[in-house]
Amino acid sequence: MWRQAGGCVIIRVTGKSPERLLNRLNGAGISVWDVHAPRRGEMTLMLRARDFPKLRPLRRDCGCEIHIEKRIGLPFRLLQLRFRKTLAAGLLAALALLIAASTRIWVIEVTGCSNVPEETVLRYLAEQGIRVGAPWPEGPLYELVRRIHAGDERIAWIGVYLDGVLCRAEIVESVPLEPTLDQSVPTDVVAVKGGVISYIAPYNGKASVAVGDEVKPGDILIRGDITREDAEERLLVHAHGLVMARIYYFSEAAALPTVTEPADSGRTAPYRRVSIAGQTTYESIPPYDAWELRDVRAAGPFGTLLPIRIETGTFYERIENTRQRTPEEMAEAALTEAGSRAYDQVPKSAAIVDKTVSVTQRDGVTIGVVCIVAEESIGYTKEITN
Amino acid sequence: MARVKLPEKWNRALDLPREVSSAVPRLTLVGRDELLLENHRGILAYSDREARFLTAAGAVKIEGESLILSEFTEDTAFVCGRLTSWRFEDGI
Repeated sequence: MWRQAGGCVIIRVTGKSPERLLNRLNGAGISVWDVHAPRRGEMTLMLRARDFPKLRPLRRDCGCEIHIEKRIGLPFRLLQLRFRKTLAAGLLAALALLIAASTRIWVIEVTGCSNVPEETVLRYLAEQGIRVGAPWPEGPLYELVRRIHAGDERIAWIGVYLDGVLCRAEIVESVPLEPTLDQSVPTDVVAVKGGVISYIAPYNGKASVAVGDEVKPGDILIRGDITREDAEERLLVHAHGLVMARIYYFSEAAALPTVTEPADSGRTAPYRRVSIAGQTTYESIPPYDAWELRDVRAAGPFGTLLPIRIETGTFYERIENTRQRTPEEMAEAALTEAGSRAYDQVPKSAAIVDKTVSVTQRDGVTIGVVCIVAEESIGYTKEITN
Repeated sequence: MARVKLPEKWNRALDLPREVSSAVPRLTLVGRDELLLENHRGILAYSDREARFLTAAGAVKIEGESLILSEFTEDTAFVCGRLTSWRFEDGI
């Protein structure tokens, strides 16, 4: 292929001794390839186009005639364009347009938005000159990012990346702070959840419970009323401190002896997707009601040269298949479901310290029970009203 | 660029493999349809049934059917086709 990129000619040599010419070419350092000798005194061979002019002095005294059979390669293709001026102009215009378009932003992707609307981020970017069709921004990107960041306190961090014609903006939103009570307001620390106290540290106020005590939601953990028995006036303080408790999260799930699962029907259909600059221009429509797309991969060399991406894959038809489950499968399914439900109840800030599971059979149904023990802060500051 | 060919006695003195630096021919047969001949000195005859090359060790005759000289450079000749035999010919 590389030889043809530089241009090659296929020549036919006829005469008494084409081998003699071959040896002269060899001596002159001219490489030849694909040498065919269909009959005695005749040979076809391929050589580089730039070596062809060197043949004239070499063929003298060889008694050989040389004819060009074919010219192949890029230089000859380009030469043909001499006579097709409109096509050549069109190709040049397309190339110029492509080069010009590749220095502009055509796709903007925003990720990480949950409270801040995506449109707001796009508006901030547009204010800084980043919009679809705009050229790449001048100056350092961090300056631009700093200006966006300073403009909205809901945005904790923003990253802007330029990747060819694609601009990606990643947002990390600020976590809103919970309103805190005034330190002069008398408060108690109460339990928000029931559990067994594992640690208590009153920073202000008096502890009402001890390690090992079982508490219910609403129980006072650290009391803000520290009035002595013989005092004439009540002494109220703003109680606060850290109270950790072990919380038990139970969950159970049942697994039936039969299960209906999606499975391959055996029928497949091809999948194609063509996207230009990240925008899908064509995508195959799945011919089945239920399907799964697999083996998707990029085809062709376009991704590295042009902003065109072609993907191929296969649609697999999926059908509902009912089958009997083994006792082990039932137990695993019940425990997986129960465990998932139990984990969903555990707050992210809690530390899991223990987990117990049990499986029982009832009327042919397997029931899995999962108990997760988590240690977490349960204190909540509540104003004393009476 | 042609490789530098050292005289045989230099090769022996330097303890070099002969085929690396001397002019002796080296034939590599891949399956029965590809043959690479290195260190040749030219082609004597060529048709689609036989190819004869000159080497420092004499003439090498390669016979077969539908022979193609896939590559022919200063040092190497790569012959493809259905090879049936090769041999050195004396008296050249």
